[in-house]
Amino acid sequence: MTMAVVKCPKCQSPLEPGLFNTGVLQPCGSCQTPVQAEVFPALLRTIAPGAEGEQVMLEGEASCFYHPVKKAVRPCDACGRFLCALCDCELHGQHYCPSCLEAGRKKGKIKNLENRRVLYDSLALRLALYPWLFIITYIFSIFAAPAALFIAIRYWNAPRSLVHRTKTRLVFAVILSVLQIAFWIFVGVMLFTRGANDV
Amino acid sequence: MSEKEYTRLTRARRRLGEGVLTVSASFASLWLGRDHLLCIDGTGFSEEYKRFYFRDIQAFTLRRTSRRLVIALLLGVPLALLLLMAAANLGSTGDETGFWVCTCLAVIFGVPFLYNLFAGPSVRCYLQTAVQTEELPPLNRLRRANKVINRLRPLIAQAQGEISREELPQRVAEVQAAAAAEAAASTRAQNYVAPSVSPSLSAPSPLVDTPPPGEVPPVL
Repeated sequence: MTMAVVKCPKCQSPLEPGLFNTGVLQPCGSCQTPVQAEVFPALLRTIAPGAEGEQVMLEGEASCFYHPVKKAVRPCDACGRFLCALCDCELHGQHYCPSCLEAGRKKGKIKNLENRRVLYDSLALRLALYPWLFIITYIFSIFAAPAALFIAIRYWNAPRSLVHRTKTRLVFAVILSVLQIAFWIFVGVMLFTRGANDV
Repeated sequence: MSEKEYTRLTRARRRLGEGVLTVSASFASLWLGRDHLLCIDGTGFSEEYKRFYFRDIQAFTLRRTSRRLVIALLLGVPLALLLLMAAANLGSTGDETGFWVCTCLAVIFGVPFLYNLFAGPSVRCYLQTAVQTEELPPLNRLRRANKVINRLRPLIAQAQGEISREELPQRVAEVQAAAAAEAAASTRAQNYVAPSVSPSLSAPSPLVDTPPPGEVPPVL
């Protein structure tokens, strides 16, 4: 059961229903902070209690893979294991067992469960670019440029941001790091040849 | 295709701390998905995603803050001083170089000052679902927040149905009354103590008059 309460973000006291959906800021009845609450029908929805697995009544009746004494209600859509009502996790019309759900989240197979991504394209570009932002730090590009090139090549096909992103950053990172590596090789060769000539 | 999956609702804006001017290292942006609102918290090297499905959104709450006033003061005071110095340079000393230096600095302060002024009142926006209340940092101005909420309203109505403003207080009161009644019933059930076994079958209670040992009880 829901309590249908919207709290004031400042003082955490429940807002009067008269303040809902007015479209303007109005003072909170408790702390007088101007607040505006836009409420939707989900606030009034009652939350059904979670399902419990039904006990197996007959010999030979299909039982849950995880709870052998509970009756199976459906198979997992990923692995096919039988699940009781307790283990059945529904996600956008698909039914998964808890272990497939966890595996899908970790491996990024279930996109809607993915909650974190490393942006290797940004990482590579910053590694290639940042050492040259200051005169003192350019020397670090001896290490940063190969690292940027490695990351750009290693993670060329890795998923980028969830929202639209092109490979522009990776391309720039490769170009910049290759130029820097070439520059340092040129400097090294110059120093070596000058040293050899001096000897 | 990821190109068509999300539409940008707001640009990335810095996540604010609890204080007026305290900030964190992450930037948050809002994106519109097919059936959900996506909040991306990015640090530059990684992104964290929070999805708010339209069917689960219970409320948006906006709270007015003093951030606009603080920023106006922080930018306005140096701006006024620079304008005064520019006027003094031009008027009394006739120093054109000083005038232009002060004017350029005044422009640097003036543009964000005017932006802050015309962006409207500053707010903090919170999204409430049945299990969480999450702040949406990109909606830090009243006008922008209302614009985004008005854009989301038909999508949420499509997922949840609609309720008129007039019947809302009554429905809320009904739900709250039902919840209170259920809570009271639950409390009664917890406090209820099942009657023990019949006293005649159990050990004699010290409250009941029993004859002392050796004395014959009276026959009724």
